[in-house]
Amino acid sequence: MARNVLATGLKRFAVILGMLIAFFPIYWLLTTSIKPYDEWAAWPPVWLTEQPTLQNYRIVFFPQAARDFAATQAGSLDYKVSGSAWKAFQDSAIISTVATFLSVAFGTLAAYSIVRFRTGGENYPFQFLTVRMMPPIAVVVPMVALFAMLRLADTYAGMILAYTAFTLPFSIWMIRSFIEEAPAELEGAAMVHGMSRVEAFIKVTLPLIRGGILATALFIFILNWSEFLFALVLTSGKIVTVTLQVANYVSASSGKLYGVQAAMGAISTLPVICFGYLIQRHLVRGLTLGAVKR
Amino acid sequence: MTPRLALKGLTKSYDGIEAVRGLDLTLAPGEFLSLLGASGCGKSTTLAMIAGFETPSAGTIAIDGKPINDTPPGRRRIGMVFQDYAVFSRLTVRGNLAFGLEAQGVARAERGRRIADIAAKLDLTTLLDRRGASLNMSEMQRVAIARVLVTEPRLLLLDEPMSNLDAGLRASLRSELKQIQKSLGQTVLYVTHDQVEAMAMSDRIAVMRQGVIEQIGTPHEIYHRPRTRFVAEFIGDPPINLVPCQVAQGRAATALHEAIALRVSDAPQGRHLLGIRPHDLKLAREKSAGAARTIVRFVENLGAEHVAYVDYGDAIAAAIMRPGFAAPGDQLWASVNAARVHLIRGDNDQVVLPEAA
Repeated sequence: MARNVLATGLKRFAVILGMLIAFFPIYWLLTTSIKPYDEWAAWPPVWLTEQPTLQNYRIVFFPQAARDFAATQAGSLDYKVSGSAWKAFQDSAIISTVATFLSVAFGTLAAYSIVRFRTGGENYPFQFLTVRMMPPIAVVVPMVALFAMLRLADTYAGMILAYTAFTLPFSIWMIRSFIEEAPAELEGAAMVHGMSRVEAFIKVTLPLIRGGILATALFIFILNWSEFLFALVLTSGKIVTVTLQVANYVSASSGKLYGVQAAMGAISTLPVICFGYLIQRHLVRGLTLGAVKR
Repeated sequence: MTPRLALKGLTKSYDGIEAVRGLDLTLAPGEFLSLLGASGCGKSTTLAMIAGFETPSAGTIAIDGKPINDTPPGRRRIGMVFQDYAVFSRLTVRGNLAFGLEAQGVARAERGRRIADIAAKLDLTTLLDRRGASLNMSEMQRVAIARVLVTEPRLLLLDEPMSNLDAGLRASLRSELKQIQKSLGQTVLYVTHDQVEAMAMSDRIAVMRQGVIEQIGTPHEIYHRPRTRFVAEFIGDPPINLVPCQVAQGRAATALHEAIALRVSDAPQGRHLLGIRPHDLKLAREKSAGAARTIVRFVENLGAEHVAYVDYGDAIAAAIMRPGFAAPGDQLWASVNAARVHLIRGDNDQVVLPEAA
């Protein structure tokens, strides 16, 4: 009895500690986003501001506000904001969505082939996973050269292609485990009864692994949405993703505009949260389906 | 008569490893044939090729004399029942039964008639509106079989359909399945690793090992006239006793018995193995001609019979006896039914076949 109480207490403590660690950055992001200028980098840190302001958000959405604000500060601030948050959200949405769709679509087909036809042999799945182990910075320079040559630099097509290529191994790896869980026998039964393999896949297996595919899509979407390195080196102004726009909130005289960056960051988490919320019914099932053996 | 199914030189290799090697096999219409073997012997691969899920690396598959190597699974008019039955759990029983008929484009009225017909035969009428997910194992098996039979397949493939069931259910489904097969005259190819199932249901058994058929014959032949050591060891429960022997002048000398008369006239001289089924090693209280003294080490209760494990030279041999006939520690006389022993050549593991009686 006493042991149980102690064990429960310890478990709770561990959970609370874990949550504190996990939520601290989010708390810091949100609190910074509503701090006035002089509290952004104050020491000792301001944990909870007494003068909350929406100024930072206003600057994100209305660049004009930055200039007005700068004027009131009597030139002490040089708010020269480049780029537009609206455009960044639009670019990120297009690139992330299309690249996620392509990655999951190709990933599903490739994973199906690997599971059902043993494509590539025994070690193939491990081999392509090594692509994810390679630090992206290692391929950045040749990628820049290649993209310049193919005229893909600073285009939607180029960014989508790069993101699809780099998330595909992850996508195949995840979906593979879901397809392995879906009994081949059901497809077999559908096929001996007259369905083609494609029909059997679409009508029998696909509904079974839908949750897994949605879970994979969410992960890939997060990877794409938060990607910075490729966005930085493969674009030169025409395409601006959300992560690049965050880095745009700097000024010559005062360095990084932390409050504005935090505001942009806070807003940029919304699409991911919405996506996650929409599919959460499938998510838990999708995430556990691959892990639990029958 | 054209065989219903004919396999000729059927071969399948994965990455250079041959899972099935030049298989030849024919099935007559209405025949029940079992492919029997341990897991990994190639029996399931063979079935997958016949069903059309795997493409043969070489060889032909013909049904009613027509090659079907390039026919997609759905057009082969073959039925298949899977290990887990693969009943569509979200469809009703009726939906499951209609599945194949719809895919074949059978008209609605005809569909209803055939479903009612098969449901009556397999005792599924009251279950027609239940969902697949709510069925028990026995019901699922009947649905899986009905779903296939309703399409009137030329050949029915069964892939270890009972391996997930407990022993009691297995025995009742076995006889149920056999009755359905006989009453419909359905040609069946049955894949199993369970010798009891194969012996109980089959007209013929093909014992497979490492991608080839070791022996094909009636259950009686497979049990009483095994052609290789593997078949002799694989069939029979408790398994056959294999004891080293020295053969000279048509007689075998073992560690226990000095002279067992062999039925083979030209018995090869030298060291070989003698296969003695536990039923053919007789235990007695009294000494008889050719009997040798041995001691019971332990006893296994099989219900109607008991198995006594007795000293046989340095080894232990199993002998079937009446329940309660002997207890561990008893000294008994063991004799061998010489007419039914199998002489297995030491050099190539082939059984030296006796002349037909």
